[in-house]
Amino acid sequence: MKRLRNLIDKSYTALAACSFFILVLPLLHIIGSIIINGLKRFDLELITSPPKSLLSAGGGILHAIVGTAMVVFVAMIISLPIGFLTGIYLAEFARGKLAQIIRALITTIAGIPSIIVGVFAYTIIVVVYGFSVLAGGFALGFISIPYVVRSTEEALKAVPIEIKEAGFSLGIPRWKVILFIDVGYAKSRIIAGFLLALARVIGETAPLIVTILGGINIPSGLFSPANAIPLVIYQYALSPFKAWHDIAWSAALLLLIIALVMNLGVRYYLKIKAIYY
Amino acid sequence: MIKFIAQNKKFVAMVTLSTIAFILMLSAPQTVALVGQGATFPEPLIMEWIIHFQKEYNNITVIYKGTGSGAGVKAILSRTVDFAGSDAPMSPSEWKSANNRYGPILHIPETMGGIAIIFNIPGISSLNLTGEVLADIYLGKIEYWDHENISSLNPGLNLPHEKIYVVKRADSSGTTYVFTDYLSHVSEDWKNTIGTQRTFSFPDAIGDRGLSGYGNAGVSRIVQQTHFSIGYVEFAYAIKGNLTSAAIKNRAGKFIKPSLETISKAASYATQLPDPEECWYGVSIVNSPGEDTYPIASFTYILVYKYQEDPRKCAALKTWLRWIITKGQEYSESLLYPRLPQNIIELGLAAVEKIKTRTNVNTVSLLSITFCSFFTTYTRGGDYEHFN
Repeated sequence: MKRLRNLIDKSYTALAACSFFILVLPLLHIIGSIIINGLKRFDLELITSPPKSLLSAGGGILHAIVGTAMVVFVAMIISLPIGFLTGIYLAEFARGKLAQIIRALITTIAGIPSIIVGVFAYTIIVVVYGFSVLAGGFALGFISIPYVVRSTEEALKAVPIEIKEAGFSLGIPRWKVILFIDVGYAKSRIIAGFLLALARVIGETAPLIVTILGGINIPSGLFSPANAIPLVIYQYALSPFKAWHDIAWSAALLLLIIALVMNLGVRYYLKIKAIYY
Repeated sequence: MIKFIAQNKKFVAMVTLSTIAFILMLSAPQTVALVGQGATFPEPLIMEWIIHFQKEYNNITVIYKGTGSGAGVKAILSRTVDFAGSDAPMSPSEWKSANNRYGPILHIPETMGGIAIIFNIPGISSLNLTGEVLADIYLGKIEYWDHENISSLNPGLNLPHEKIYVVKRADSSGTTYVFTDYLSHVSEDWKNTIGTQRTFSFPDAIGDRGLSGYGNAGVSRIVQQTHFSIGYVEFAYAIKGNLTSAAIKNRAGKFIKPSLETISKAASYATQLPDPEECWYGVSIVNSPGEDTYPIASFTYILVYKYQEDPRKCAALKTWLRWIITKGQEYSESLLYPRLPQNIIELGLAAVEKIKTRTNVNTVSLLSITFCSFFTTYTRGGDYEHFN
């Protein structure tokens, strides 16, 4: 009897380990091939130079890096205030039916395919102002709102009631308690949520194709078209030219590093703040 | 406020810096920007052009993104771009609706494409085919490589008795359009069963010998990996992927392999091209006459509005278009695009000269809008619909 139990126990462990490997192997394969192929052109020129002629070797993706930075910056300007305030509302004020509806709506927004958000941005911004950083930032901002709302809400809900009560007992008005005591306490978690939302949208491709267009120029402002790292990867990978394939691999490596640094950075940041996320 | 700044020095510094950077970006010197999108096929060449063009004219910025020919035409119809790229001319209905709204859309050929018939038979590096045989292979009538119709074209070649794996594009594409256009020109059977299409499905006769790949890259990968297969890709992909291309019998009866010169020849014999101001639907340069003409070739077009709104943009657009069809052609061949022959360059230059600003269009439209709204509000009870 005991042996049978041991056998079942061992086989379950083996099964779990197997499924873990099945899960991890493709990931390792992806990371491995990106690193091996990406290192070929992973040099300073990649991040300091705009594209150069295909006839002369070299050239980089500076235009796409600046484009991604600008688009994400605009996205954050749009999503942070809205998401933050909605998060506060949901955590502190929302009661009953209305709150349920708002939560359901936010879950729905999170479930909308990103290309649809892109088309939405196309119809209300591109048609009026043309392909622009603004349109791309709007689309990405819209996509990241649910993440900001959720992380703000969760962070605020985790604030111990005693801390709030301490504030109220001093006669501080409610809005001040929320804005200075609650948010102050939950600050690191809220910031971590912002960063994760940012990491989520930085690799988005579909909504950008229909909003920022592309091109090889460093965007000159909010209303000019721009390129982004994922778009460059998409375009270069499908081209017939070896030099472009190499740049696409290196750009993928760069994107991978950005995503890793942001995710691990958030973990580290929360660790030194002694909050486990 | 002061206390807040003192307590959050780092934060305030960051915000200030990023605001300054942002304002600097916004206030960058304003240049004329020309925006275009459309066909993906000429995108590498257009990017190359933009790099060199912007060095020469640093007050003009050109942006082009390959989103597909269909998207290019749609962008022209919604006027979200200054120019568009398309592998196929606009259809009569598209052209008419654009013409009604914005005036004529000029079709300017900016480069050409040739389609290579690639194959993978171990040990065989050259193959002769005719259009009829190619159509029969793609219709499933010829099943084995050693079929008499193929071996009679290739005397001395030891073709294996193996099934032919037929590869096509899975996505809708200009490449398929030109390929099927060619087959429709040379084979009645093809014309009656499948015809000229952006995408098609294999006839039942092909069964599981039919394979589909996404994009030129997908088709070339399948042919590379599948022994005894045949497929069609843009010429550049055949060269860059080291794939062997078949020689195709042209109208003069010669077997011609695709090359930059033989593809370019297809346009030099193109006659009866329409006026740039007319609808170009139906223009085709497949199966062109000429001794060394490769028969599966096509133009790819830049579509522009004849009437421009902004004089600065109009001038910049004309400079750009003139540059690409003359000086730009010097960069074509090194990127494996054929050069435009002289007759097509002249046609293009004549088209560019037709582009002009519509004088006083703003004043006129403003007046008419004011009048219409006045008229409708006070006489017809605000029936705006009537004027749309």
